[in-house]
Amino acid sequence: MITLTHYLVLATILICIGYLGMIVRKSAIGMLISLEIIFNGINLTAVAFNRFLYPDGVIGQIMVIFIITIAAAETAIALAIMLNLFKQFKTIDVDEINLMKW
Amino acid sequence: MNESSFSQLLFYVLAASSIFSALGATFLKDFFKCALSFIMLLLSVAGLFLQMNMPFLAALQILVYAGGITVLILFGIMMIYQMGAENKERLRSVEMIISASVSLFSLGFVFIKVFSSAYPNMHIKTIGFLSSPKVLGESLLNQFLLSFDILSVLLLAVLIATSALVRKGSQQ
Repeated sequence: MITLTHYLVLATILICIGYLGMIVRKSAIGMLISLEIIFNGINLTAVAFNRFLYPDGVIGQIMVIFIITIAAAETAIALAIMLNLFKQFKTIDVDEINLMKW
Repeated sequence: MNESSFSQLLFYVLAASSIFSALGATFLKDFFKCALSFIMLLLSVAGLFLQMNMPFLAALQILVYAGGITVLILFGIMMIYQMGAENKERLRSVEMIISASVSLFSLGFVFIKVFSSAYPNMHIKTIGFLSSPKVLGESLLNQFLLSFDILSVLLLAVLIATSALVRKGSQQ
C-alpha cells in the first residue's frame, strides 16, 4: 500500500536534488531548471497532503495550479533577463556577473 | 498480479524515473540533454498525479509545464547559445562535494525522523477518491476568485514586462 510517507519521501528527495543543483550549477539556465525541480517537489507535497489527509477538499490542488502559473511567469521573466544579461556581459555564468557585488 | 501490487510497482517505477531524471537535469553538462531530462521528470510527476487520481492536474502539468515552460527553456538555451556562449558548463567541484555531503546528511536525517516517528499510515477514505475537474473549477471560481483574478493581473504584468525587457534598444 502506497501511503503518504512514500510521496513525502519522494518529494524530499526531489527538493534536495533541486537545492543541490542551485548550489552546484554555474550558469543561470541550469539554476532555473533546478528551481523548477524544487517546484515539482513542492507540488508533489501539496497534492499528497490533499489526497491523503483531506480527500474532500481541493485546497492543495488549487495551490498547485497557482504554483504552476507563477512558475510559468517566473520562467518567462528569468529568460528575458538572461537574454539581456548575455547581451551585456557575453556570458550567463553567475560568477562572472558581479556588477552589484561590493 | 492484483491491483494493489500493480499500483505499488507503478509508484516505484515512477519514483525511480523522476529521481534519476532529476539527477540528470542537475548533473548533465550539455544543456539540451539537461532540458530533455527535465521533461522526463515532469512527465513522471504527471504520472504520479494520475496515480493519485487527479487527472486535471496531470493534464495541466503536461500542458503547461512539459509543453510550455520547457519550450521556453529550450528556446532560451538555443537563443543564448546561438549567440556564441559555450554549450558546456563546468560544475563546481569543492562546493559540490560539500553540498552533496550536507544534503545527503540532511536527507538521511529526514529519513530517520520519518521512519522512526509514529506517523500514521494514511490510507483512509481513498478507495473511491477521484478529484473531478468540475469541483476544482467551481471552487476556483467561488472560493478562490480573488486569487484567481490577482493571478491573471500578474500574468498580464509578466506579458508586458517580458516584451519590454527584450525590446530592441532597451539597453540605452
